[in-house]
Amino acid sequence: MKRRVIVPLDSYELAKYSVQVKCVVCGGENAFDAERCQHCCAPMSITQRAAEQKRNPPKFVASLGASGSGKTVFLAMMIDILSRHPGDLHLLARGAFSVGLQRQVVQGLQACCFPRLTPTSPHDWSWMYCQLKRGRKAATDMVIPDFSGAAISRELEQPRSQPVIRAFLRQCRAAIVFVDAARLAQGDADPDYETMKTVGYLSETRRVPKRMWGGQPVAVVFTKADKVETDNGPEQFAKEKAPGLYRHCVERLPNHRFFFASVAGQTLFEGEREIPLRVEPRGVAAPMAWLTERI
Amino acid sequence: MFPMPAPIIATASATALAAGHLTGNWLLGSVAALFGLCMLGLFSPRASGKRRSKKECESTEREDWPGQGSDTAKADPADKMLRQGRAALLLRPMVLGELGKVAAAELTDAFREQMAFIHAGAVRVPSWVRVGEGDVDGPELIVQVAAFWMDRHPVTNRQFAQFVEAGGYLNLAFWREESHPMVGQFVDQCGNPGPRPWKSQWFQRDEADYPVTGVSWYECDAYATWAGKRLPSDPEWMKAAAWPLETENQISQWTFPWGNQLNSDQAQLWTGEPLGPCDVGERAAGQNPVGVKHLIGNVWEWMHDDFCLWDSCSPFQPDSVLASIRGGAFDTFFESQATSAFFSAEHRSERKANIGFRCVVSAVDVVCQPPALPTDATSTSESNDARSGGSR
Repeated sequence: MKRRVIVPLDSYELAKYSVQVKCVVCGGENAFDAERCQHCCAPMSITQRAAEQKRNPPKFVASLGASGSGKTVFLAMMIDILSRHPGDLHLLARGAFSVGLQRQVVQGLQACCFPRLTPTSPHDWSWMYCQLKRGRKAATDMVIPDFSGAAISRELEQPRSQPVIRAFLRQCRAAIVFVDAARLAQGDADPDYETMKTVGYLSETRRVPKRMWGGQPVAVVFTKADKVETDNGPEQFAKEKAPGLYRHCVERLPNHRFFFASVAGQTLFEGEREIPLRVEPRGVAAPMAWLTERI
Repeated sequence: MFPMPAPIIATASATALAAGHLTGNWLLGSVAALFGLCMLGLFSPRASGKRRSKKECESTEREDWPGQGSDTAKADPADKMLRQGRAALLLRPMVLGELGKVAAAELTDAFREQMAFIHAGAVRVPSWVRVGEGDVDGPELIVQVAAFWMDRHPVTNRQFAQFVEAGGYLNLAFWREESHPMVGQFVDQCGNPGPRPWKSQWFQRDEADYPVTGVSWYECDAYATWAGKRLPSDPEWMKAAAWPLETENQISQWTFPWGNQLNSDQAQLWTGEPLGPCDVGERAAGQNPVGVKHLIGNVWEWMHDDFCLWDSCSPFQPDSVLASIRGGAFDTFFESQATSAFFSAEHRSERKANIGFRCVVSAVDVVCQPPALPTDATSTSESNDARSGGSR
C-alpha cells in the first residue's frame, strides 16, 4: 500500500553550500560543513573558532623537528602541565579536539608507553587550539599542530609536497624546533643536519623574503636532555654538539633561544620499542613561557 | 694555616733566587728559592686536594656537629663510631661483648632512634609491566622476607658527610671490586671525592638534613658497608612501604605506606612548581605504621637488586648494569609512579639529583630487641577495612 506524504523543499539548506568558507590556515575555500580543509587538511573547527575571535585572532605556533625527536610527547606534556598544574602561565584548551592528544599521550605515559609515531597523513594529525594567559596580562589564543616528523622531512626534501605545513608556516608567529639531544650527545650529527634544513626552510617560507624570521621568536628545544651529561647550558651544548644549527640560528634567527627539556627519567628498549621507565618532566613549560612573552 | 696564594709564593721564590744571583750569595738565594718551591707544593690545589681557584669552592661554609674534628680523634673508637651513626657495627654479637665504655643500652637507644624494625612476613612483589598498566590480577611473586631494621629516613647530607670526612672514598675496602676503576670519578663540583652537587666535600648551606643526592649506587653501597648496613632488596622495601597484611588466603597491601590515598602533605611530589628535595623532618604525616618516613616522594631510593630481578613476567632481562629504584621523587609527575608497588631503574653509575638511598640491616645481624608491634600495624578490623577499599 502506498502512502502519500508532503516533503517540504528546504532550499535554504542548499543556500549554505553556495557560501564558501575560507580556511584560516591556507585560505582555500570549503563547504560550510567540511570537517577538514579540502586543500590543506587543517580542521575547519579552527576556522570556526577563529571566526568567533575576530578581535583577538589566534596566533599560529609551529612545532617542527625530525621524526622521533619528541614533538608529540613534549606538546602533550606541556599542555597537561600548563592546564592541570598551572603556575604563572595558564592554558585552557578551546574545543574538545584540543584535549584529545593531551589525554591520549598522558594516559600512555602513565602506563609507561610512548605514543606511536605520528602518522604521515595530515588527516590524522592533532591540532591544539588553546588560550594562554600569563598573570594579569590579556589572554593569547594559539593554534599548535602536531605535524608528523616524516611529513616535515618530506616537505623539506620536496617543497610544496605537504601544502598544510607550508601554508601554516607562512602564517606562523612563532616556532618551536625540536632536536634530539640524546643522539647529539652520542656524537650523531644527523639531528644537526636535519635541524639545519628545518631552520633554512623556515627562513624561506615567509611571504616577504626580506623579513624572513627576523622578528619571530623561535625556541630551539633539545629534547631527551635527561640523557645529556653536561653542567653547561643549552647554548653551550648547541655550540659543541650542533655547531651547524648554532650558526644557522645566529645568522638567520636573531630572536631565538635554546632550551633543554626532557619528559622521561630513564628509558629502556624492548626490541625496537622504547619504553619510559618513569616520567619526570623538566624544562617543558619554559619554551612556551618564553614564546608567550615575545609573540 | 694561612692559605698563602700560590702566585705570591712563586714570585717570592724567583725574587730570592734573583737576589742571591745579584748579591753573589748563591747559597742563600738557592735555599730561599727551594723553600719557596716547597711552600708552593704545600699550598698547591693538588696537594691540598681542593681546587681553590674557584671562588665558590673557597667560600663553602661548614658547620660543626658532635663527633667532628679533633675532639673525636681523642675519643674512644666505639664512641666515635656511635657518633658517626655506625651503631649497627657495634651491635654485632661479636663486637658488643668486647665493648666496655659505651653502654649497650645507649647503643640500642641510638640504633632504635635511627632505625625501625620491620617484622618478618610475606609480601607480594608485582611485575613491572603490571605496575605500569595498573592491573591487579595475574601472576606475581610472593616473597617471604626475614625481619630487618630500616633507616627511618633517607640518608642525609649530614650523615653522608661523616663517611666522606672519615675518608670513605679513599678506602677501597668499602667499595665493590667492579667499582674500583670508577671511584676516582665520583667527585663533587670542585673535583674532590663526594656527591655530585657538593662543593669542596661539603653540601649546600641549610641542606644538612636533606637527603643526599647525586650519588651513584656504588657510593651508596660503600656508605652502607662503612655503616655496617646494606641497601634494601626490592621485597624488603615493599614490605616496609606496602605494609602487607596476611589473611587466610590472601595478602592485602597498601598503595602508600600510610594507606590507599595520597594527600599533598604526605609526600614531596610534583606540584607544578620547580621544587627540590625537602628536609627529612618534613612531611611527617607520610610515614608507615612504625615511623619510616619519606618512602614515597622526596627522592628515589636505590635498591640493592638488579632491575626486574623479582619480576616473573618482565619484558626485560635482569641486568647488573641497572639497579632498581623505588618510591618516586620530588619531580615524579604521576601519582601512580610514586606508590609502594611502582619501581623504575637507573644505571648504577648514574649520579642523579633525584636519587638517594636508605639502608637496612638484617635483624639476625644485630643484637637489639625489636620493639612491640604498634597497635595500628596489627591486623585489627579497622586496618582490614582500610585495606579492603583499594589494596593492590
